[in-house]
Amino acid sequence: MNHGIQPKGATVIRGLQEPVRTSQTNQGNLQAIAGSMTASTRCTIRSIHYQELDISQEDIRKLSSACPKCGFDLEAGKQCRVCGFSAVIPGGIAVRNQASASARAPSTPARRPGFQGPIVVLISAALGLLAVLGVFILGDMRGKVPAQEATSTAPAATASVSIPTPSPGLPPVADAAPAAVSAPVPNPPPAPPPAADPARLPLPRSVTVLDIAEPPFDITAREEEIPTTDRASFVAWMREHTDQKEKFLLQKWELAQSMVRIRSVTHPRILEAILRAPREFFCRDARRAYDDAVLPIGYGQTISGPHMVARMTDYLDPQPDQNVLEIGTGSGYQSAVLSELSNHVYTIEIVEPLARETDAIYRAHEARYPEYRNIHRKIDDGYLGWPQHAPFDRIIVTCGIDHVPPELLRELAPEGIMVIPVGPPSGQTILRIVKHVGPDGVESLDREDIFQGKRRQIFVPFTSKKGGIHAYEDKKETE
Amino acid sequence: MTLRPMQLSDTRLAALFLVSAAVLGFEIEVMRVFAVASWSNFGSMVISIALLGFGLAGTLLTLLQARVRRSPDAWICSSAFALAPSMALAHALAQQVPFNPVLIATDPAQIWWIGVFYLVYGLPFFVGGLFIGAMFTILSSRTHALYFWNMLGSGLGGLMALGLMFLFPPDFLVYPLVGIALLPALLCTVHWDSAADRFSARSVEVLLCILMCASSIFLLARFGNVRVSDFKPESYARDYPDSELLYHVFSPLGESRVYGSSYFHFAPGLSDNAGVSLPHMPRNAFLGLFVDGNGPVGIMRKLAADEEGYVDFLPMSAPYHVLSKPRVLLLRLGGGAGIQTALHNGAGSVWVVESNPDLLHMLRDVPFFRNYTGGVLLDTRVHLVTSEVRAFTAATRERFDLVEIGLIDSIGLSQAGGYSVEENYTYTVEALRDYLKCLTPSGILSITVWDRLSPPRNVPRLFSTVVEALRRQGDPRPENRLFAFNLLLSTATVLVKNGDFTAAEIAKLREYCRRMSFEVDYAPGINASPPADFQKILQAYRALYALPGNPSPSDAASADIPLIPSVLYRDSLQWLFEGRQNDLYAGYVFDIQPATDDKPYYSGYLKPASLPSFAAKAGEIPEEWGYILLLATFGQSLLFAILVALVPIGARFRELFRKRRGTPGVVLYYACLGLGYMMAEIYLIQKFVFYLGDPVYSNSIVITILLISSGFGSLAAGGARSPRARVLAASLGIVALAVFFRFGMPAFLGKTLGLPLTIRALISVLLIAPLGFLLGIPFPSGLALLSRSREGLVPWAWGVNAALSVSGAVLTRILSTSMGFTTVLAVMAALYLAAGLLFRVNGSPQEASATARI
Repeated sequence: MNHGIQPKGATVIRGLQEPVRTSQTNQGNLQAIAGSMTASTRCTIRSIHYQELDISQEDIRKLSSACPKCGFDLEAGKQCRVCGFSAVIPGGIAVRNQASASARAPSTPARRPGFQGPIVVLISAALGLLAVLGVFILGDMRGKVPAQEATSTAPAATASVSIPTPSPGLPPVADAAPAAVSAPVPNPPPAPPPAADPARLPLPRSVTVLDIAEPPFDITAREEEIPTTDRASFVAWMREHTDQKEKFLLQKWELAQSMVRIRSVTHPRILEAILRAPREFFCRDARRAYDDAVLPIGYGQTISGPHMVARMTDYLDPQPDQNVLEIGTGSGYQSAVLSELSNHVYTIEIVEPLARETDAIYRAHEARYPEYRNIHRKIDDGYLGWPQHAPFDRIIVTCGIDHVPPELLRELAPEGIMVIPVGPPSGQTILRIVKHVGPDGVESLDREDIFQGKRRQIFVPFTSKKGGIHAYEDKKETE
Repeated sequence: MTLRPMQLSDTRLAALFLVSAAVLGFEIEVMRVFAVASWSNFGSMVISIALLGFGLAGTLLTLLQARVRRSPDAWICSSAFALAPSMALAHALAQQVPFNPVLIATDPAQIWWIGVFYLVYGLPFFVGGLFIGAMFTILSSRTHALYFWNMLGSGLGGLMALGLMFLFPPDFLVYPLVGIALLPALLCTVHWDSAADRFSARSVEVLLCILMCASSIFLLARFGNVRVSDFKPESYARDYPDSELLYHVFSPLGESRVYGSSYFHFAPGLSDNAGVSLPHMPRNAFLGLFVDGNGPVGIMRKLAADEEGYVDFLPMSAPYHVLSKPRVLLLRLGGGAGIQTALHNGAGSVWVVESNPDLLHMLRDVPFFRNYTGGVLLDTRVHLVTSEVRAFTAATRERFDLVEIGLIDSIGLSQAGGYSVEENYTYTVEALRDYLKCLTPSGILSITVWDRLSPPRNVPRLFSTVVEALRRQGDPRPENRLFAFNLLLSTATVLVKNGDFTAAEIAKLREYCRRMSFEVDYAPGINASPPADFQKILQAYRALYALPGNPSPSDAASADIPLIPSVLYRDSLQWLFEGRQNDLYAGYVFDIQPATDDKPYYSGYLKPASLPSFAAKAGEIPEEWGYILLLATFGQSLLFAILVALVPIGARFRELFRKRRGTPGVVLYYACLGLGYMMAEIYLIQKFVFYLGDPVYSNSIVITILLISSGFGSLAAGGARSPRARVLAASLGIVALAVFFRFGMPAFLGKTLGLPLTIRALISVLLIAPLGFLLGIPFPSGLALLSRSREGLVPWAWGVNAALSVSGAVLTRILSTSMGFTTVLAVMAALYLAAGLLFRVNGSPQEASATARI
């Protein structure tokens, strides 16, 4: 803080290592001086005389702005707002006229003796560059770990393996995985290739085949046919032969008429089956049974819209003596419709409580609808089908999957038909797959989109899981 | 040189450095979290959010300037204290937002959740902006130092975030950042005790810091788990009843997890005949590999001898039927099924180019996976190369009989919607030309992609890109070099031969397809008569979305036309070969023009002109949500941009209408700068994805280097004798650089693509820095003059600039997705040129100093 004694008459900005004479100062480098003052040295504002300076108000503000104690802006003549330092700036402010300013000889660039900015900038730029290098060299190195080295040092700090909780599934994996990464173990016990025994990955679920009442019922033995020509006789007939309510019968009739109109239904047998099957028994909310909508049935599952059921059944066209397999029992309505068409219906549901709920519905109505005794029910993953009862002439999948399960194709009989919604959760295309056998014995499986590329549908995903799919529940089906 | 004693402002500068680092690190972290939780890194949206936070902070400070000056340190310290909790809070809150991009097309409410993201994630940027802004307000004498520490902090913060990604998985990335954000708070507990004439830390504030630290950690631990979208493939796999996480590894390139479950029913393009013809299907043949929650890539176990026939039923085995002992190049490793297919089919040698070292390491070195895959990567015939696909194919002198890209990504899967706005440089015309160059004289390029979009989009685009690549190679008759087949709603495969297919080869391939029940879409010599009713088919596709067009048969007529993908494929190729590609591109309902390096949006299928029609039927194209999301984000950003602009302007509204010349010019000048800067930034990020190989590298390098170099530009602009000349020079320089970026850079990047990543990163720095330096000049130069000549308009300048920055980030992405990079560069150059010419509206230096004189 010792700036020496200044010769009288010369105005010097103190605080710099080398006093800068203001006669050398013009507007341009004044700012630099102001910057350098605060950047590196402390300046005693009190000692600055402004008389000789050709500066603007702005410059003065800058010059006088820094508090010598804390470095923050200081308003002239006021106490520092940050640290409370009080400074008084004596002396008036005189600004020379323009002429004298322009007459001033341009100065040699200020040497900024106190400003270490450039050095700091350089050093930091170098540091920054080094950091870039460091990060990327790190990245590169990770890519080039030689195999032998990597095995001994594996894993890098970033590799971690969860230790699976003990469970019946995947035992070899559970053993091998932690060994793979516990670096101190030099020779992890070699994990036997799981390939050797596929059965070592057992399905963890229990499989339950639900009992059905005997004896089976032959639908071809039914004598009366449902009147399908006019509403009045249909309602009258149904009220005589079934326990279905008139309100629902009327709604059902209208719906069936629209199905015929837009060709969701083309076979008379399918129309009869639709007219006979009581959708209200299977919808968990009976009031909306004949709405043209996908409805939630709990467990994150849904019942397909009536048009979709009709269309898919129409494409399936099961005959009474054919083996029909349904994957995804769900509400039970689809199987109920199928049971009006075939004597051998097999259906698989993976969600156990739902399967039991639906089973109870069948049982409750078995007396009046003996065809439900033909519905064989199983609680299982439908992916592998029901090989004990294969081959099936007809297979219908009523839940979405992104590919056609090969095992189901295997269980499909020659000239058999499968109808399956294929696609991602956001919408599936419904495929009909027909298995043909060529003259040389090579089977061909012909895929066809039943809506000819014009429509997609949203089905609940093939496998059930917790959460995640409920957003689809209220999707309105539109035709 | 004497060192002056430390001042209080020095501690605050150190805090500024740390705040800048934490805030920029947080920006990168948010992108990473988006990539993990959702589909893409939402880069432009995050940049837009950050700018919103900064913009609002800046405008608030402008309005409350007097109040800030009255108690400046209180503002500084409180914003420093608030930073870490605000970051923790934003992270935790954002995880509670039930935003689901997949549903954006069908559920309009989702759009408002984007707005909520802006508000929630904007918070820490707002707080950081307050700190930095307050510092600038009351430390005006040390602007240089401020700029410097701010830049350095931001720059190192970005790199630090990148480094942290090696050490922390995405879920935990926020912890170290919050830790760093707590440091400035600790520094701000130090105050100057003027009575004792020394520094002292206030114990109450230290206590507060500790409390905040604890509450932040609690908040993060309790609510900070990254909420991964339920619709991401990994979410399904994780929820399988018997699924087990077997392996977990992460790096900036992505977080990989491998699950085992009996529910993994993989059939990657598997022929339906496999289920019928194989004695038994291999059970549990796959583990599921998910990278950032996407996938699964099936890691195939070593098949037993009696199971190996399985690979014959994969479409990837088609080319092997016409090649003997081929030398094979697999582009990307996938789960190793490609190698097994190649070796099973008697490949002489197999080269595998894979960019993700974690994946190679896992399958080759981790004993469990090595055993599981039967050590297939250690086979003497297998050569592994760690490199980007483009880098390798551009540089290699090796030649191969078969180059294969087999289902390596989610192209053609509808879950890929989020990637419609992400660059994909694997399937561009330029890329295909590189792949073709790697072929021996009669070698085959085999590309298999998913074909799950209905109506088809990606397969026609693959065709157009392939044909365009062949054309640009100078081949007049590409129709004899192509063979294409598909399996409805599964996969599609294109074989491109280096030379014409022979009749024998065609017969073999046809027989293969017959046995596999694959539909042959095109084979050389197939009926070459022009499809007469193809126009009608195209019209029927348009009618699906009520798009107008000629000819316009009645709806009933188009309703009767079946829309069969294989017919579309056959006829599209026919038109492409006949040179009617423009009719095809114009006539088809989706944009299927070839993807190029200039417009590498392979999955961007919506035609901008048809957007209104699509918008009305958004529910029927749910898989195109990526683009819709972008538009919705733009809408939201526009709302916030108006907010940012209006807050400061509202106070000075009258200033605009004061009768003086040049007012619209001022608005225009700062609008040009705001938009132009964002265009440059987003362009560079998108372009350097190609060069650096991954968005995360591109984002962090570009943002970091651009910030630093722009800061230096601002510094350099400060002392200009003639700001007008300097700004004009800068804008001319920017135009020159834009020309270089368009015409000179692609070739340069292509040539140096084979260099190691480190060198490429350094080259990127050298390429980006000059532009950043020049971009940094116009704004402060103008503002310095404006503040002296027409101070009342300064808030306008800030507001307009901030507003256009906020929405410009998203707008640029829309522009590049729909029109390509050349357009973006041209607009950017024009904006800066306009700004250079408009500079005088800020006032002349004479005027400025005259008005300032007393």
